[in-house]
Amino acid sequence: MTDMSYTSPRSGSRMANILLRWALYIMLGLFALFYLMPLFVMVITSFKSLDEIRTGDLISLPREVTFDAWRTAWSGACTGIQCEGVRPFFWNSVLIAIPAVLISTLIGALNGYVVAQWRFKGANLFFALMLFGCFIPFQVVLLPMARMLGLMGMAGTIPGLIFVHVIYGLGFTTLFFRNYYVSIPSELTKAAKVDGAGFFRIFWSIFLPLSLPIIVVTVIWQFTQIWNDFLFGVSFSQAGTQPVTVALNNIVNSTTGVKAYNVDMAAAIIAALPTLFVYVVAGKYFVRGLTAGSVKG
Amino acid sequence: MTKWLEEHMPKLVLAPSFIVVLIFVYGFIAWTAWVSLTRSRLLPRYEIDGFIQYDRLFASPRWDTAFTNLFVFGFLFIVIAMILGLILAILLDQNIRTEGAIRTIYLYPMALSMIVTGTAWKWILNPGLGLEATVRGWGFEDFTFNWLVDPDMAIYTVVIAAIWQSSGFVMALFLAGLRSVDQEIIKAAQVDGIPTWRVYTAIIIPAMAPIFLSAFIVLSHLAIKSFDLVIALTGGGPGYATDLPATYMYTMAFSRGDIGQAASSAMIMMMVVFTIVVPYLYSELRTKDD
Amino acid sequence: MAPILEINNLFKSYGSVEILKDINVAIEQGDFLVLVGPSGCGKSTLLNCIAGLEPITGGQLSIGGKDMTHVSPKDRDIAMVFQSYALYPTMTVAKNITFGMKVRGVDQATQDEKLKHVATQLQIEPLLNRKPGQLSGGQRQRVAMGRALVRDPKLFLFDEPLSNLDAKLRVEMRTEIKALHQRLGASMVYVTHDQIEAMTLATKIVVMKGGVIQQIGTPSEIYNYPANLFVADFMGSPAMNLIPAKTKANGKGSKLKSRVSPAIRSL
Repeated sequence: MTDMSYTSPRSGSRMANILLRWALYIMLGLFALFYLMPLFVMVITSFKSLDEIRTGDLISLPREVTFDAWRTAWSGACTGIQCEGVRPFFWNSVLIAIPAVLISTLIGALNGYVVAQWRFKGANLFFALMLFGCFIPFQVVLLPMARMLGLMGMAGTIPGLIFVHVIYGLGFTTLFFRNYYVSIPSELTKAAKVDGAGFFRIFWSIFLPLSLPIIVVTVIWQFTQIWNDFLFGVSFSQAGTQPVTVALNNIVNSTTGVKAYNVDMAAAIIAALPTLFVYVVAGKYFVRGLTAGSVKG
Repeated sequence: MTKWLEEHMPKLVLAPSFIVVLIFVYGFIAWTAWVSLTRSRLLPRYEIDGFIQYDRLFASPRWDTAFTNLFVFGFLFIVIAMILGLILAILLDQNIRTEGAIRTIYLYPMALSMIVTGTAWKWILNPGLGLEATVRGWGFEDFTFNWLVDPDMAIYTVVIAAIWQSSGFVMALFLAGLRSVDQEIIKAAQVDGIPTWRVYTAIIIPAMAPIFLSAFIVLSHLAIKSFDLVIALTGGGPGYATDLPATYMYTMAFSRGDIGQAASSAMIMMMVVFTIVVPYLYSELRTKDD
Repeated sequence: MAPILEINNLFKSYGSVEILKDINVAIEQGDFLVLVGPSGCGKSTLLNCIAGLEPITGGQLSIGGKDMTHVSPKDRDIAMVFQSYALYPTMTVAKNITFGMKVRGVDQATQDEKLKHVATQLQIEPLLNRKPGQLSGGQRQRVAMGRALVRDPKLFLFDEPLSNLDAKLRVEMRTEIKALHQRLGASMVYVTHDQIEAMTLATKIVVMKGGVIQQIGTPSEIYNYPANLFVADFMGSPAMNLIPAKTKANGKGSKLKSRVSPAIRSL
């Protein structure tokens, strides 16, 4: 906390300070409303019946709470030709996200360990190449990747999507672990070498036990990125293998039938629940992940 | 044999990632660049034909809209998000009792998929049933807010949704930055009798220059990649009024079967990112090696 | 008997920068060799080369009579104590000390026995189940030494082990290290920038500057007969008085002629 306590008494009367304090809290409150409003609207809309929605008051609480929209969203909404709701696609996202997160985190940890603790001529070049890879707009690899997946027989498959997410997640995971391991003194590795430990032993016995904070940050970051991804999902999946974000978009933007806004909202909330849950539970680490690469550079 | 293995183990461990990145990042960029110089349509052709794709690109009114939108959207998004983020960070820096809770509230949009954000805002800004209808219901009969379906104003709805999603992140970044400023400099200023606001403008904010740069880089990156949000919020419409290079590229690649155009638009996106990110990375990596 | 450590014509460069130039030094079993010099003189680098943690660019190095120039640290029969102690933060003191033995596959019974022996020797028995984060600076120092002792090596290497301690503790630990040296009759190579530490601990001192050895000798040799101006000025506290003078041959020998202030002339 930036300690400004010294300046307060000098900047005027106590009354002015109290007023300023109130103004501060009011402003903070207004902004909080701004951020909460969409979520609030989504939730209440999802519990309204379509009739009620059509009478059009965005922010009024539902007169009659119905769970119909939720049931439809989960198992009945149409995502193109199928009308199975969001459930199968939710499961697809799980099948894609969990392996991709685990694999990219593990490889990133080993990479970060090498770059941070085992200096050799190519290591910095490697790191620079990985780092740059984090920044590319993925549009520039979409076409060749589509062809490559086809050639490898993985087009439109879940393993294909896992593959894509691992590859393009490596840059970030390596960055996170490298920045973390760089702050561990190299004397630790030296002592272990003198003790006779080799490359993997040192990683397993010394660095890995130390890594819990960064593992949590990396896993949360990767999970959020992969679960929320749409571009890779929509480009590399087929009707049965689409992740939940693609299914959501299909439901919302389907051109057939009556627009069921309550179903749309329920489906959106379902799609958002996992990452939202992770954020609420481990938000502290989420923030650390976001700022990890940025603040220290 | 084992001695060699031991000695080269670090390199061996990096090798798979190295090869993978070489192929799937740099190799692919090269492929896309190559194809952008050919006459490819539905299928890629590999005979170089010069810059015709780029000529077609910049002659296309749709690309013109998309490219202009990028700068309009990008500029507004980055500037407003940074200002908002800074204001929020400064407000939160004032020893707020419920800081943790408020920070959580400001930041949670970042945890959402852009599809979810787009869906939510699409509903809120729905001309007939959303904000417009609600405010009218409060008695303001003449209130109109149909930006979503107005070709001239639709891009600004994307700006609003994007700011809502990302300003919390900027706030978190700046808050960390505010607090990393050397406390002793601040105390010296206070002893000198400098008022709070002056301490911020003259000392703290200038000291945060590198963090402003980081935020700018990340926000530019988000702006250029904006695809999900546009698809969910406006679908690129009305018409193609809210097209961005990302959506243009996708349409060309998968709907129009015009790979040449897709490749060239992707390369333009790549180059924009390149010109922003490379100088930044270069200076960062140089100072780190010292 | 072969010298316990013998370094011949050692050169070390990082790319094009030469860090160590033509280092030649040898010590016998039981010697306490101190490498001393200002920051950047290459003493830590030389120690790392002896340990095998840095490859040498040229020359040869033997420990216990065997050529170790290209041998990895774990096979050099050495133990090292670092400036920051480098204790494994997630392991208990006991595990820190026995880690090396565990890696080498020593059986549990021997591990326990050696641990007990070392713990008694350094009086760290009550600390065995604590983690490094729960120890004071001096205690960490002892654990680091315990980790080194348990290896029963031919050569102990110390890299500025006392620099992180406060003045009082430094004096205490200095005495303990010297006592350990005498009790075990061990061979030690010790790096420091503090010439008082050098003078009190060493049986042999190597003064270094800019990667070059300035002088090798016993503490009293270094003190009383410095080989050049640098050594004369660097060693000894308060510093030696240096007076510019000219020598002039005058048939019977040489005469020292210098402009000296009246106050000193009258001494």
